Amino acid sequence: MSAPAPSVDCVVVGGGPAGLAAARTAARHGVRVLLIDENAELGGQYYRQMPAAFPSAGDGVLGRESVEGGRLIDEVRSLGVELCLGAVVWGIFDQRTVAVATRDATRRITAQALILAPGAYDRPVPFPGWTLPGVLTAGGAQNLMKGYRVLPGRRVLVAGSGPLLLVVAHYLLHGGARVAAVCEASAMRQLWRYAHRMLPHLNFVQQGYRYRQEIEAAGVPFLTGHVIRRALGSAEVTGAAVAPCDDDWAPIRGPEQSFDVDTVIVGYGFVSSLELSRLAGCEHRWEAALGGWVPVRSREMESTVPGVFVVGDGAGAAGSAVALEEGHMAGLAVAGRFGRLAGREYARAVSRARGRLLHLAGFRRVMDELYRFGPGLYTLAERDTTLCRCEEVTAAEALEAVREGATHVNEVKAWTRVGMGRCQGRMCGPALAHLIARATGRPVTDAGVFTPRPPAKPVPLAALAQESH
Amino acid sequence: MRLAASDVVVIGGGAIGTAVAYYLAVEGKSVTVVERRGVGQEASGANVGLVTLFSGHSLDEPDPGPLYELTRASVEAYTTLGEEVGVDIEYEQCGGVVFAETEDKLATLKRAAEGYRRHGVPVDVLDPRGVLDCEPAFYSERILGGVFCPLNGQVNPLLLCRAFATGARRRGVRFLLGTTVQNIYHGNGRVRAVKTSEGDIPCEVVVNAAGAWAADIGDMTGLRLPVVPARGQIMLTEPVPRFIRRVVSGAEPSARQTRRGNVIIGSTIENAGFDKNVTTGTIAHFARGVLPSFPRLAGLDVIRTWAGLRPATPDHKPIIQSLDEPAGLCLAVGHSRRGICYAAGTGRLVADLVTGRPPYLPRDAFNLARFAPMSPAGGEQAPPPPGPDHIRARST
Amino acid sequence: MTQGDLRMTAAAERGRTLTMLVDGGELTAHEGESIAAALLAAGRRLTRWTARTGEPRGYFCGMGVCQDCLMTVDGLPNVRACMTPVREGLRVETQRGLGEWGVVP
Repeated sequence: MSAPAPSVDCVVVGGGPAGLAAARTAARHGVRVLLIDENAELGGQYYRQMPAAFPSAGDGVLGRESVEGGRLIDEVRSLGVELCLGAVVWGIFDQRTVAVATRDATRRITAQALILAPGAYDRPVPFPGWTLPGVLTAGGAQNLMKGYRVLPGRRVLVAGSGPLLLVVAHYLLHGGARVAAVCEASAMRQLWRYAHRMLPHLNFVQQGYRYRQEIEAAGVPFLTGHVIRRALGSAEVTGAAVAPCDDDWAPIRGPEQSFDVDTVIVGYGFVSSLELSRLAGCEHRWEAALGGWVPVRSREMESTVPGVFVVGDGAGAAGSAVALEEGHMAGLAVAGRFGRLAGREYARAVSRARGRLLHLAGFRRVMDELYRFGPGLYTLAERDTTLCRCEEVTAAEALEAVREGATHVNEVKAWTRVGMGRCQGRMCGPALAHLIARATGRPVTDAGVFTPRPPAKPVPLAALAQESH
Repeated sequence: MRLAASDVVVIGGGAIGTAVAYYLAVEGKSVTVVERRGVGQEASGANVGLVTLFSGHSLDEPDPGPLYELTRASVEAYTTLGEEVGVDIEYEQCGGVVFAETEDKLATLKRAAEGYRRHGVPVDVLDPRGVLDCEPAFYSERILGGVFCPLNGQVNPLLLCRAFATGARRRGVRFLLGTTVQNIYHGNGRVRAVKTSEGDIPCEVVVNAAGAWAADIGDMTGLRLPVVPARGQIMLTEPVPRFIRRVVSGAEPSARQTRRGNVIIGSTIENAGFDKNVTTGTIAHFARGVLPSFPRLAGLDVIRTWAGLRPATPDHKPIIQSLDEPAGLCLAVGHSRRGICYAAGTGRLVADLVTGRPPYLPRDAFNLARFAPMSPAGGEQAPPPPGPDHIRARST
Repeated sequence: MTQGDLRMTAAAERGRTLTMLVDGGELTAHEGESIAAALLAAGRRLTRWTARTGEPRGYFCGMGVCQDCLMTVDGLPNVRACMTPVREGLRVETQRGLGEWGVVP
C-alpha cells in the first residue's frame, strides 16, 4: 500500500462558520491549513452563499448572513488556506489520517492536527405523513430560500421549536407565501423568569420580538404548546394538523387543528453529525440539555483523542456565533501546538475567546431551557408511520423486533433493516433509540448508537479503487 | 443469586447457539441461552451469507463426508425454516459456480465434482465459456474452467439468527442477553451449573457455542480449545436492481447480491486478534480487486463496511462433540468460515448428542482429539491466520 | 398544487437561463441553481417513488443527508437533486424504486 500523502500541519473538515473560523485563525498564525468541504462552495449551512453564477445578492433581507460569511470566506482564501472542495471525508484512520474522496479518486492525508467541524442536521421526527413531498425541514427551507431565493410552497405551516421558526416564517412572508400558522412546541410560559439573563443579549431578544410582531401583523397565528400531528395528502401535502402537547412535547390526545396548506416545514432542533468524531475514536457523552450525544472536549475544544478538535454544531448544536468562537479557539490551540503562539500572547488570546464563549453560553443556556427538547415528540409516530425512510420500515416493525428481544439499535437494525439505507441511519437513529427506550422502559442511552464504520458518507466504489496524491 | 434451572444452558447467541437452542427446544428440552451482547451480533451477523454445498471447502473433502452432511442438513432446514417460524430468512438456491484459474485447482475441482456426483449431488463441470455464461455479471480472462452446483445459494444471516431465536423463544427458550458467563461449575465428573452476571443457572448440559470466544469458555473447565479469532472485513454497496444472480466462489474478493439489492463484497481472513476495525488498505484492496471481476460495480456507491471475528481452528473444521469428562459438556465451536453453512446441521447434531439419539453423523466426526493435545508450553496450537497486511486468497 | 414560479426575486438577479429536460419535458432553470431548486421553483416536489411500497418522496433536508431527493440524472440513478447543479441539456427523471442502472460501457 502506498504511503499517505505528505502531511499538512492542520486539516479542517467542514467549511461552515466553525471550520472557516478555525482555518482563518490557524492560518493567521502561520499554520499550514487544508480545509475540506463536501460542497462546491464554502459556507456550510449558516453561511450558505448564493450561487456564483447569480450576479447579485438580491435583496438585503436574506443576504445578511451570506455577506458576513462571504467576508470570512474571502479572508480564508486570502490567507492561503489550501482548499479541497466537492470532496467527502469518508473515514478517519489511526486517529488523524483522513480519507477523502471526490467522484473519481480517494486520497489519505495525515494531519498533525485535525479540526472537525462537520455541523449538524435537522432532527428528524417521524409523524404520520412526514415522507410526503411538501414536508421539509427548517434547514432545508432555509437552504432553498437563502441559497436560491425559492419558496418551498405557497401555503405553509411551520412547526417546531426555537427562534429559527420565526426566521423561517419571516423569510416566507417576505417571499410572498401565506403562512398558515407557526407552531411552537414549547409552552413559553413565564418568559419574565428569563428576563434578567437575557439582558446581556438584548439584540437577540429585540430581533425575536420584531419577528413576532411581523407575523402577528400578517395575521399568522402563533401557537405555543403545539406540535405537528400529521401531514395529509397522497401524492403530496394537501393539508396538515397540529395538536396541543404536554411539557414533554408529547401530543395530547384529542381534537386536532387542521390547516389547508401545501407545505409543512418542521424544525425541532438539530442533531450533531458525529460520524467523524466517532470514527476518530473520540469519547462522547449524553447531554440531555442538548437532546443527544456530543463529543467530550477540553476548554480548548480538543477531544479525548490528542490532536483532534471538534468545533461548532458538530459538537452540540449551539448556533453560528458559538461556532465561530469555538472554531477560533481551536485555531488558537493548534497555533499554540505548532509554537506559533505562545506565552502571554497565547494566554491572552485564549482568555478572550473563552470570555466570549462564556458570554454566549449564558444565552445558550436560556435557549436550551426555554426550548428544552421534549422526547414526547417521538410518540407522534403511529404504528404504520415510516420510521426508516430509506428502507421503508414502519414503527410497528421496529417495535416487533424490540418485543422479540432486540434492545440495541444495532439489533433492531439487523432484524428490520432500519438504518441500513443510504442515509446510514441519520434519519432514523435518534427516533429508533427513543422508540426502544419507550418500549423497554430503559434510558435512551442504553439503546446505543449504530456502530460507527467507514464510509461516513456514501462514496463511489470507483473512487475507492483509485488512490490519488 | 440462583436463577431457575434449565436442562441445557447454551453459551453464545449467534447462529450456532440459537440453532442449537431451537433444535433442543423442538426435542422438548428446557433451554437458556446466555449471550453477552445480543443475538447474532458477532460473526453470525458479519459474514457474506453464502450457503454452498459445493465450493472451495469441498476440495478438502472430495468424497462428500461429514462436512458435506453438515451443510446438507442446513440446506434442508433453511428451505423450510422461514415458513416454520414465520421469519423470512431470504434463503435462495440461486445456484453457484466455483471456478479455477490454475491447472492444479481445476484438477482438484474436477476430482471433487466427480466425488460429489457419485454421491448424488448435482454438479456440472463447465468450460471457461460455461462459467462466464453462468453468471454474466462476472468476468475473468484467466478462467480455465469451473463447477456449477444448482443447490448453492445464499441467505440473510441476520434474519437466520432471528428465525432461530424467534423459533426458540416460542418454544420456551429463555434468552439472557447482555449477560456474561463467568464460570462453569462442575464436580463429580459432570457439569452442575453456569455462573452468569445475572446469577447461577443449574443445569444438566452446557453447550459451548461462544464463537471466537470459545477458548475462554473452554478454560472454565480446564479445556484448551484451539479456536482463535480470524477477522473478516466486508464492504457493501447501495441497493440496485438484481444483476448478480449466482453465488460465485473463488473470486478474490467475491461479490454477491442480497434480496434488497445491496452487493456484499469481501471478505478478508486475517489475524488481528479481537480487533474489529475496518482498514483503509482493505477497502482499497476490495474496490480495486472487485472491479475487474464485476465491472458493473463501478457505478455504485459503497455505503457500509464492517468486520467480524470468525472462530478459526487449525484445520478450519468445527469441533462438535459431547464430552464424557465432565459429562454434560458439549462443544459446538470453531466453525471457521462456514458457520452459516453449518448452523442448522450443528443444531441438529447437538440435539442428537444431548438427547442420546443416534447422531446423524459419526460421534467422532468433529472431535477435539483430532488435534494434538495443547499444553501451555508447545504442543499444537491453532496456527494464527496470516497477519493483517496479508490478505489470503482462499475463499469458500 | 402550486401554480407559477416560486422564485422570490427577479430573474435578472439570477444566473442566465438554460433548459433542462425533466421526464422528457423542457424546464427552464437558471445557471447556479440546484436541480432541486429548479424543480421546486416550478412547483414540482416529487423526486422519486420508493422501491418497497412505491410511495412518493421529495426534497426534505436540503443538504444531502436524507437521500430522499434521489433522481436519475443523465441516466445515472441515485443522484441527489439538492446537491447537483443544473446544466444546459441535463436529463432528469423521476426515479422509480432502485432506478435503471444500464450496463457499464
